[in-house]
Amino acid sequence: MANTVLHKADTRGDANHGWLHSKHTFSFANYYNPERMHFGVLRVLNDDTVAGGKGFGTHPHDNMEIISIPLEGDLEHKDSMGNVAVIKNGEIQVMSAGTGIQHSEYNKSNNSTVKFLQIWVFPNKKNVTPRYDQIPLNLEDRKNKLQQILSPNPDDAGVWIHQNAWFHIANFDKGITTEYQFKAKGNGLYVFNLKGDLTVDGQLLNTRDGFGIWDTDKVQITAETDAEFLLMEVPMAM
Amino acid sequence: MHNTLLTTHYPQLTTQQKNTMNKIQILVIGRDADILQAVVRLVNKNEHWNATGTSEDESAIELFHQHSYELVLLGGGIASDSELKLRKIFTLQNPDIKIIQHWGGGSGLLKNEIQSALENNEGGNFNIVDNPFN
Repeated sequence: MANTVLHKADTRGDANHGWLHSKHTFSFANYYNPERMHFGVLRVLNDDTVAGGKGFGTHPHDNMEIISIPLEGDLEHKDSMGNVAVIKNGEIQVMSAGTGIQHSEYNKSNNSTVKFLQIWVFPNKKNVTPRYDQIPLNLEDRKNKLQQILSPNPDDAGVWIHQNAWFHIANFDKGITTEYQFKAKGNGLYVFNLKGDLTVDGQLLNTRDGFGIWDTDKVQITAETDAEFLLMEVPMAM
Repeated sequence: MHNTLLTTHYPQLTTQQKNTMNKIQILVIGRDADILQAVVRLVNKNEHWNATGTSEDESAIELFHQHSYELVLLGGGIASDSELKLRKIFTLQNPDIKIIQHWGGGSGLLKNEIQSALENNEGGNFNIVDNPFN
């Protein structure tokens, strides 16, 4: 029988620094909840809003796969590998921090906020050569179907990471149903509902709710209203 | 290789140093000097913790012999044979020592990782090896 965990949106950690308002699904920075440390190798799911002209100054990372998905506005990225880029809604950015990387991320606009998801996944290999990638996604490819945006394979759709993980994003009209088949045995699926109402194997999810399910090989997903959601299939153990 | 050692020793203890001794002592080992510095700085922002950082195994072993640490944080860039050696030496000297992998490089996970380790919580730290001889 499948195991599940429900994280209602209003139970997330809340950090409001003025320039940054972040909702933490899992323990992060000053939010510490031993019951909310990770879902398998998915360690961080931050729902960030950054004020105009503000951002994260240069800071280091190592040994982590870091994925950014902009939801609103433009985010400017600079890193120690010489990459300077702006990512916007409809794109996805990935960094393998590996042996070490320094980067900064700023809201490109002085006037409007930028909203993005910051997702960290434990890598399946330590001390890899740092890398950065960013790709545009076709928004039409997620209309009433699952659009793969991340996988372990450089030749597959979306970006790739050093982990046996697959991410999909979707924008469903009310009433659309799909069945998600797990890609790998031993993996779990974390559903993060971006907007609207969904049911996942009978569990109702409202906007920004999260739901993890594992020890199963498929999941039934139905949009109860128009809905946008992110599926993250990850190993439940290293 | 240039060793980065982020610690200070004084022959005469001041009040401040005595206060430091009452803190939870944490040894941080990492190969990247910038990240090591960031991790030590971030750990020391907590008033109850005192971090010493080093980038070399020999220096780490010497520090471990000289001081009483409650926690060892292994940062990035440490090869698996080095990690195993350090874990064995530290565990032989202090079977209760907590040794954890720090993920992310001075990131938002640091405080959580330390807190979890000190509370004996698995805490999402996947590489805990309490005793490598078990």
